[in-house]
Amino acid sequence: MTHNPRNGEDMDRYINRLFHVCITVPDIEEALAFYRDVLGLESIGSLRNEKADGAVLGFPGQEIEIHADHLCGKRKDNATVIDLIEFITPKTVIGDGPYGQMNHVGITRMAFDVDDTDAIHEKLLQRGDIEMLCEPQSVQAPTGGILRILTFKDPLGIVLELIEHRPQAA
Amino acid sequence: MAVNPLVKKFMHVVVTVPDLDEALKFYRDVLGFVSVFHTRTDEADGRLLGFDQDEIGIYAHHLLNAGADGHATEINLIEYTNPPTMVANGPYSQMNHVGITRLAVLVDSVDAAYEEVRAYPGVEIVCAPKDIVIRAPEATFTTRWFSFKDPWGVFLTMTQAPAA
Repeated sequence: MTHNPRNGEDMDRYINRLFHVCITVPDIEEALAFYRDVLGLESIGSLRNEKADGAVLGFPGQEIEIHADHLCGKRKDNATVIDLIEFITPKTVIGDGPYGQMNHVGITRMAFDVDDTDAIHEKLLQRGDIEMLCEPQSVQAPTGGILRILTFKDPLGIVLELIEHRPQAA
Repeated sequence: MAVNPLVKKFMHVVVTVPDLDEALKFYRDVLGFVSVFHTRTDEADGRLLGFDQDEIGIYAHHLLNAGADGHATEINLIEYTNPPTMVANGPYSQMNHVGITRLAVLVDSVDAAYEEVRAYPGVEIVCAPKDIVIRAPEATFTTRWFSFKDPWGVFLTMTQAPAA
């Protein structure tokens, strides 16, 4: 056990790390076509027609069935995994879609560290189905240099952000 | 297959909250995440986040687990101040709703974490700790999990390293 000196009290910190973030999708293959084939995330584990007790995900007394892929980027050491899940039973619900505004309470956005924001921007434009929130922008990095940032909605409407760190202003 | 991995690293995930100081009491003081950066500004770029105004107001803390290395993914807690955070109907209530639905965190002991979390006002326990059998192609193993909604309705699961 470790202690948290910043709070001036001996409080146990029991979180080891953020383990995964779950994205619920209506079709796992279509989601992979974007997250794996366009963004280049690697699937490090895949489950198909996995049946499970639904209690932990809030479906008490039900057996649920899902397809899932666990994705990560180039850096795998201690990386948080993205868990893409298609619900089969009960089916994924589209409802009003993902949060339309970033000031909606909840888990609203994910950001990725990339090598070349502009190159990916070009690639996304070529697809024709990606809504850009704005064009790539350069902002001062708190740690020095600049950040080249792009925000867009994935084909399902989930807001994603790409961040490239350039150590010196170009 | 991916030809050219564009993504180096999953950098952060954003949790939008109505009151950041209240959220810190839970995420920092109870869960034990450490704040590594914070900002309060009325001049954040609104267009970048899809707003119809050039400048927006935010108050944010970036959290990492204690002792994290430089490759760990941050949780960015953001309170929007202008325009303010919209609570509306709250976060997705069902895990089969399309979108970013859930965070999972790794703890040393699920049962110890459960006792701490359940005592916090406003937390809704969805499922008490239980063992889940995972049948992967290589092996079958058992993992222990519990799930809850934070005081603002965000769904989290906690797990510990699997028993063989």
